[in-house]
Amino acid sequence: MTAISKNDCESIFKEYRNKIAGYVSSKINNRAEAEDVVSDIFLKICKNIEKFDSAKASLSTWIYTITRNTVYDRLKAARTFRIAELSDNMPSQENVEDNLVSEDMLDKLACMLEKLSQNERDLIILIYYKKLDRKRVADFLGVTYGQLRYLHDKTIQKLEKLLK
Amino acid sequence: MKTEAKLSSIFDFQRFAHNKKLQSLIDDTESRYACSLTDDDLEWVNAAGEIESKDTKDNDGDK
Repeated sequence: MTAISKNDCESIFKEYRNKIAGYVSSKINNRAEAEDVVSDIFLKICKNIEKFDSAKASLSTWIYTITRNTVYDRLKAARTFRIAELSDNMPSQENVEDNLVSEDMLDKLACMLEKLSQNERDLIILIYYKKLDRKRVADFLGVTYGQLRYLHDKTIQKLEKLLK
Repeated sequence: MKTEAKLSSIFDFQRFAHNKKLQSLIDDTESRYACSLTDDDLEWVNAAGEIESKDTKDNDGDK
């Protein structure tokens, strides 16, 4: 295992700046506030970098967790968040072990989505990535709301095997 | 964690990680539903129905 020190902060900044800024701007519309949050995230990363444990999570996952939690803390404080964007499983601390997502899971989800029909794949992406209202998704897919619910439940069952 | 919550978590991570394979599937869906604007997107639609960039909107406030 290679230890990471405070001296690595600059290279981490260069490598992750665009990812962090992209994520933050997707959640916070105000540019000045978004830049402030990005600065806050880098301060937290540099302050805590020596606590990072590669046995528990990848550096990318650790940085993402700090990024996400900082964004949601800011949104909560400003009370400008939309309820739908707040996950029930949002951890209050930078604890990556309880809520681990990894690069592997992105590849697995992509493989699984490829196996779905076009309608099933669109439904999942429109609801869970685009966060569109289900009635609008039903309209876009040209099905009734009842049919959408049936298609949704069937598709979720298919994905459960992968996501367990 | 429920499958729905897990999906939301993974897609949220995608906004950070930009996995190429998954992004191509998202882009494919978005290209077919290009007219589907999120509530966030709608904030940037002007009175003429055209989509303004966030930068343009921010700069307007400085005028």
